[in-house]
Amino acid sequence: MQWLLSFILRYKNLFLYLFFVSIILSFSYFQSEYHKSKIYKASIIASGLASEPLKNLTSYFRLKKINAKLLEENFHLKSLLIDENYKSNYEYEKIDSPYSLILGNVIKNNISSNRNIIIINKGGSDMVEKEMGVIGSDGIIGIVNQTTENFSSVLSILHKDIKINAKHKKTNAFGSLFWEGNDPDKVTLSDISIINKINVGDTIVTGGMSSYFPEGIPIGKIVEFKNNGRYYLINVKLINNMTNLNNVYFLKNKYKSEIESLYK
Amino acid sequence: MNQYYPKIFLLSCFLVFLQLLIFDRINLFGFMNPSIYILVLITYRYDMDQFNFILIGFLLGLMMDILSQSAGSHSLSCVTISFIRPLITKFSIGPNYEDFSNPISSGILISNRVLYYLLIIILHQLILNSYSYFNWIHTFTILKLTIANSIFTFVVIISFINLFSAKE
Repeated sequence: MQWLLSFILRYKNLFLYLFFVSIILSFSYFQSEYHKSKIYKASIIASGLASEPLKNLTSYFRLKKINAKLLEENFHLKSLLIDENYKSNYEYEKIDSPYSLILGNVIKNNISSNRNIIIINKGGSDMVEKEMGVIGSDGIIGIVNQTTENFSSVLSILHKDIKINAKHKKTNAFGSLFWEGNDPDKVTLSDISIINKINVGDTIVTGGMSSYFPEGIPIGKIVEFKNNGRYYLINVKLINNMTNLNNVYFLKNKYKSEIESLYK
Repeated sequence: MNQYYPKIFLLSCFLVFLQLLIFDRINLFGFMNPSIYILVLITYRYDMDQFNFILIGFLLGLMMDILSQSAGSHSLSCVTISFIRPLITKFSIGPNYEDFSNPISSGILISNRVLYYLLIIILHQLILNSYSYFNWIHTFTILKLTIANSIFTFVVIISFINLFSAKE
């Protein structure tokens, strides 16, 4: 305490000067509109300069919280989107979407082999079941293969044995989507009849014929196509970047078992 | 020594009224007015406390501001001058300036005294005009007023000092 007192006494002239300057500034602030605006402007600049580094620093520590909040928001919006998308397919009847979402996080992702598998940190205890569809922020990711209590393995869309029902968005022509095992960003769509007119750049979406995915989830865009006699062989560039997956959504279809019982 | 402060107070009041009633109305060439009241800041004794000097500077400036309805420019210039006067003195008269108790003592070399007066006058005018205009756009006007008013003030103050010295 004593050092503070001696410090103040030592620099008493400086403190007195600064005190008077602050009084003069406040005097000017009330006395003259011109000085008021100038002082106000200077104070805005000073507070801006001072608060920006501070804000940058604190925002860095809040990033995790913000991220969690954004994920939650994304999850909500994605659910709404799936719901709306489903409803728009049935314009004349009011049907609620049978799909609900479960948020998951990719903990292992492989693209180097022919049969790639993704491990996700949600399992049976989070209501994840076998053969659920999995989508990412932009498009489809794969189908659940196995689940344990806390984890699940997903057959990536980059898996040679997986075939997904897809359609050409403009013409609604159905086909079958599979991966040939070459580029991790390109898949092939076959079995679209040549009576449909297609162009490079057209969008390919999920068909909705399977119970894995609802209709209309984007998959990719046509890069090139070949006429194979009766059918097209279409090369599709995936919208999702399969090499940097992070957050994914499981699609839970509440009528799945009912639909599948009809196949048996 | 205790009688010094009432004297300073009376001198300040006298100079402020002189300033407001006469010197602020000269308007030589339309814009030149000498600031006579800073005679208080120039003549304040070296052996007196600087803490009180800053206080006097502030009160002098505030008196000017209130009576001339300006926005604090006189206060700021007077307080600043009273705060930095030891530096100005050290620079113009030398580190042993405290040997002389009176700034207008004839023991100080005339060149040092002139430098001392000029520095105080110019700095005072510069701060006064800069704070009055408070805008980079008016830099030229500020410099013009500072130089012109400094010369005029210097002439008037030198005459004043000589007048009083002659009386003594």
